[in-house]
Amino acid sequence: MIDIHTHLGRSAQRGEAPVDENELLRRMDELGIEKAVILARGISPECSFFHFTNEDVIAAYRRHPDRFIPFCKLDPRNGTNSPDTDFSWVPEEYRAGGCRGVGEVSAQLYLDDPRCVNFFRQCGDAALPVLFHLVPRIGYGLYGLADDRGLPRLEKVLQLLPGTTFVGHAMAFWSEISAQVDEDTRGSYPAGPVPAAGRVPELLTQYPNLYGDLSAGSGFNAISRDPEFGYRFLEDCQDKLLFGTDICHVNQDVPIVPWLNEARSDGT
Amino acid sequence: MTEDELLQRMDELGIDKAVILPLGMTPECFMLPFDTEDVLAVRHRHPDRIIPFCNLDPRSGHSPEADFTWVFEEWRDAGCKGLGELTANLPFDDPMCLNLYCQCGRVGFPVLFHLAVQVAYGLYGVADEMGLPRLEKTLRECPETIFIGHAMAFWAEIASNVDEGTRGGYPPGPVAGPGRTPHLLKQYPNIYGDLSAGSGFNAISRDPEFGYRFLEECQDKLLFGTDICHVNQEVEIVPWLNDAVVGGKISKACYEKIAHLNAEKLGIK
Repeated sequence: MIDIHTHLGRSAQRGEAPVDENELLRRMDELGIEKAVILARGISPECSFFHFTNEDVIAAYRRHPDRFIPFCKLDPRNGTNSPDTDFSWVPEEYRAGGCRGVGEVSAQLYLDDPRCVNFFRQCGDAALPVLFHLVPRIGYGLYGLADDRGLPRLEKVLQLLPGTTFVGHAMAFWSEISAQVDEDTRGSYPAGPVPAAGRVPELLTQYPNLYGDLSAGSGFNAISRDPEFGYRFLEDCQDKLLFGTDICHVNQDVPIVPWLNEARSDGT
Repeated sequence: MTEDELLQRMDELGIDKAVILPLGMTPECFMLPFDTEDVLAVRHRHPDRIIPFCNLDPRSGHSPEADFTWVFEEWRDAGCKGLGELTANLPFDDPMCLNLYCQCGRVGFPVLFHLAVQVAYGLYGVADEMGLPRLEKTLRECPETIFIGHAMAFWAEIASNVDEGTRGGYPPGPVAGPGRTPHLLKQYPNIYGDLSAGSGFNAISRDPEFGYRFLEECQDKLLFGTDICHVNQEVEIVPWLNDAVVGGKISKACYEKIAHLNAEKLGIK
């Protein structure tokens, strides 16, 4: 398996041990994961106190090129805090260093903020997919790009930037697996049956430049909250979904691995 | 800019010690971070020449109630003497900034800030309006915190003749009368001025007679600085200050305070 979403480094929790590369490799071995994408930490202030920089990610990749796939991370406000910032040389430099994508984009900006659109366009020009953390609004306590219910800003950007591949992640993305979602539930892990397919399956089906990152509680909840719907969704969108864990803590529980393995062995 | 290049430039300019400020903790001004741990590593290699500052963006944790104290205490124990350069493009008195300032005050970190004229595309730094009302409000609200002002929007206010067209740049020529910056430096014990960069140098040199008088009058509240961030950067303030003291334009006592004593008084040593 290729894990699309892991982190190394130190979290913003006091006293918590950092995930170092040996810990990640050990956990990958336990879970049967051959390769893992490593996403930088920090860069956007909203989600971290400490950096695990792109250079740190590339250094880990160089020590374990057979196990790690580096992504680079930038913030759309980088450079000149402007919709005209020239990012092109940076993704190109990181691509030459081995990076295969950009993310996790976690700036607290609207997904269609002009600075984001400028940044996403240049990621597309550099042929680097953009993995983003989606939240329901701009507000204290949140990190990640923001969209409204129904994901209109995401759809606008998918139409505007057909040359950029996006990989959706987090609660505000995955709660829209279901048509039954409201302002109270869309920022979390809505439980129970899915009465009908929501905006995420629709966008995944309609737009070739959108993929789904199944990592974390959000991705796992989306496919497991209503197992029959979940299995059908995996089959229907099988060309647009990416396995992932979001390992960012030592000994983190990863229920998606046994769940997927059981789904395959059961033939469900 | 490598540490060897910085040390070489310090030797050329006669600078014994330099504060190193992390880069890139705030997205608005840089793409490639040089973070607090990197600064501490340089200090570890050159403890006799380098004074480390830490840096953290007020949006870290994205809450006006974020607990930074344990991080600051960790960095203070590792040798950091202050926080900065604060470059987030937020209003100066944003609740997240006030939260950060107060916690800096509690752990004894002076806060060195880059002041911008507004929150807008193309800008970095905490923002205030003309007359610096948000800075004054914050100086009152955070009396335990020492602030160190830097950049154009801070130093343009050395003069009363400043307007929206000039406050974000390097206004030249005579100072009609002292502006808000001298006023705040005199009135509030918790604000200091960082004379580095084109902004600080322009403020004291645009009208030399006013500049010498300002240095004398505010000699207890000013800190020498260069803002070296490029290889072989020109640093006009060093010969200017040396000429001023040699030529008797400013007193030896004033020079010594600005050159190092005021920094030492703030624990920056």
